[in-house]
Amino acid sequence: MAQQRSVLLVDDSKFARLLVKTFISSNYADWLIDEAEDANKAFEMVDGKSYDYLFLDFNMPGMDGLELGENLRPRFPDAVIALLTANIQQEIQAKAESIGINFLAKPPTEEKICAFIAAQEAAK
Amino acid sequence: MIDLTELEHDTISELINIGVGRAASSLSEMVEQPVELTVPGITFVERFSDTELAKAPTEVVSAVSQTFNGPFKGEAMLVFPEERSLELVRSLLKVDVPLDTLTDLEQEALMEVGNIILNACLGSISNVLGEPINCSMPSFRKRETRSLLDAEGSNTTGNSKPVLMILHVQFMLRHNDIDGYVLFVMDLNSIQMLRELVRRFLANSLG
Repeated sequence: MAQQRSVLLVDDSKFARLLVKTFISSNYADWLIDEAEDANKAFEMVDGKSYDYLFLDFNMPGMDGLELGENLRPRFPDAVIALLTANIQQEIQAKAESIGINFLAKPPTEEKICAFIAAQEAAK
Repeated sequence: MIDLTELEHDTISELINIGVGRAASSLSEMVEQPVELTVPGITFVERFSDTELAKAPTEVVSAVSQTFNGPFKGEAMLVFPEERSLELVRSLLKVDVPLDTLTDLEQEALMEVGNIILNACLGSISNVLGEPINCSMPSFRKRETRSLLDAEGSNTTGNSKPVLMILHVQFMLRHNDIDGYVLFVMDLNSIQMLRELVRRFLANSLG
C-alpha cells in the first residue's frame, strides 16, 4: 500500500479542483488534499506546511502557475510539482521543464492523473 | 472582402482543423465518447447576424469566451444550446452529484470545458505557426444568438466598420445529443496578420 501523501491543488476553477481531487481520493483514499484558488492562497497554505505533490494551473488571476512553480521549486526540492494546464503551447512546456517542474495537459482524467502519480511513487 | 488564395484558405482551414481536432480529443477524453466534427467553415461578414450561425436569432445559447492576443488577436468562443448544458456537465462529472450541486457547478464546469477546448485550439495553432498566443481568462455568457458577440471588451468595437472573419466548426456528442460550435472572430488587421503568417508558414514548408 502506498504511503500517505499530501497534495495541494492550485487552480482558480473549482470544477477543475473537484475533478482532480475526486480522481486522487478514489485511488488514494487516505491522502490529504488541500486546495487553493490562486497563488496567494497557495503561499498561505505552504507557510509552515509541506506537500508531497503540488498541481498548479497556469492561467490564474494574479501570479501564473509557472511563476508560482518557480517560487515553490526551491522551497520544496523533494516535492513533485506539476503544471496541470489547458495551455499546451510548446513555449509553456519548455518553460516548465526549464524550472524543473512536470507538465500535464488538461483535461485531467483519472487515468492520466493516477498514471502520473504511480510513476512518481515508483521513482521515489 | 478579403482575398485569400485557395491555398491560404485551405491552410487556415487546416490549422483550425488541427486545433479543433486536438480540442475534440480533449472533449472526448472528458466525456468518454466520440466527438464528431464538421469541416471548418470560414466566412467574412460585417455583422455576426449575417452568418448562418445566427439563423435562429432568439435561441438562447451558453457560451464560453476567451480573448487571445499575439501576432493576431480576437475572440474564441465555445457555444452550445442552453438547455443541453446541464447534460454536458453531467457527462463530464463521472461522480454522482445531487442536482443542486450540479446546477451550482454548471457555470464553473462549462468555463473549465471552454478553457480546455479553446486553449487546445489556440495552442495547437500557435505551435504550428511557432508564434506564442496569450489567452485571457475564460468568461461565461448566456444570451440570445443574435447578441452573442455584443460583448463588453469584444474586439469588434472601434471607429471603422469591422470586418469579421468567422471560423466555425460544429461538434456533436451523439450519445448525449449535444451539439455546439467553436467560433473564432478576428478583425481585419488580425486577419491580414494571420494571412501573412500563413504565407510565411507555407513558404517555409514548401521550401
